[in-house]
Amino acid sequence: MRTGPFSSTDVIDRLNRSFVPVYAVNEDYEAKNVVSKEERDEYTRIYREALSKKFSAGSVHVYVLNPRGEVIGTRHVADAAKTKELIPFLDDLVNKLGTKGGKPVVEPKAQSRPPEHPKGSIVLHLAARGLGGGGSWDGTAENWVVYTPDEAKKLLPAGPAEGGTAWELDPKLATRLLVHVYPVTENNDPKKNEIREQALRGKVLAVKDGVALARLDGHLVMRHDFYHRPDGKVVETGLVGYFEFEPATGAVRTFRLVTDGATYGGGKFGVAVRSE
Amino acid sequence: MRWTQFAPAVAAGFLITPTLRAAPIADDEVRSKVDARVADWWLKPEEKRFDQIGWAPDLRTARKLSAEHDRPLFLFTMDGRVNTGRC
Repeated sequence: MRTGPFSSTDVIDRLNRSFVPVYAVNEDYEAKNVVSKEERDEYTRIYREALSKKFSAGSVHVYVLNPRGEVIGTRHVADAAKTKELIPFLDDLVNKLGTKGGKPVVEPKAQSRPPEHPKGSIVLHLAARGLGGGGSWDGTAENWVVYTPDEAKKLLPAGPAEGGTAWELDPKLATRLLVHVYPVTENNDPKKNEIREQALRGKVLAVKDGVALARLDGHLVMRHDFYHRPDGKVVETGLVGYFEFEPATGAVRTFRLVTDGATYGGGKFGVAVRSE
Repeated sequence: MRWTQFAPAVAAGFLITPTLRAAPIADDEVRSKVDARVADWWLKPEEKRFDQIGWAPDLRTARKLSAEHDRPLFLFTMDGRVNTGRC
């Protein structure tokens, strides 16, 4: 949906002009403490009402409610994902309701945002995309990884940082980032990924005006199932990057890391990481 | 979603993209080459159109706004995170 109708300006215009759009992540509604009981109850009510009215219903679905909260139409994602089918579905409901269009009720804003974090944290933003040869879905994917100020210091050399200083970045902290290095797939549970080999080394290239520039080199071999069942597929990639930090304070100014010749499932992919 | 196809245009784009693994990067080129790769692979504006939709923060807020503005509510439910593409 993200790369299909939700990237179509025709759909976007309709949703903004005539609807109140909202999305619900099933995992959040199934968990005990992510959303309120009232929120979960409303989600369940909509699902059950759709069924009682003989509409299609499911966990990956589109539901449309009238302003009184009554379910008036649904679409399975397989149908909703077809922009040419979704548009007449939306237009028909708007025409039936006589909705007067206008500006978006909610101001659009970035939907991919970092988690809450303490001041001084390193906030890393990861982007993944296929580069040909298959093995992944179309489109792009993002992740956020945050290191607290105390954790950030563990990414730096333990001793003085001088030209030529080399060190291994804290493996546990590196794992937290590397577990997200995979292309766009159906399985997005990092706990299911199995890192078989990983390395991420730093080497200080220069120190100037109190700021050290270090290069990063490494590699990753990680089993990652495309779907939520074992398929033996493996991510294999080199890693290269750099980061700038202040040896005196431990503050990290810039962090960049990219995959180097990454392969998965017979295709190629790329992952880029940058500090925000 | 559709499986990525090895279309000629994609292949051409990939072939002209410098491959970092072909040879180790010299120390004095690490920053520029990594920056170029990050820029090349980063999400383009047309890949972030999802953010152009005025999404309500949650279902109950959407219900309230729907009633107040006399507009239908559009709900999309999914496994995973549609907002990041990890779904």
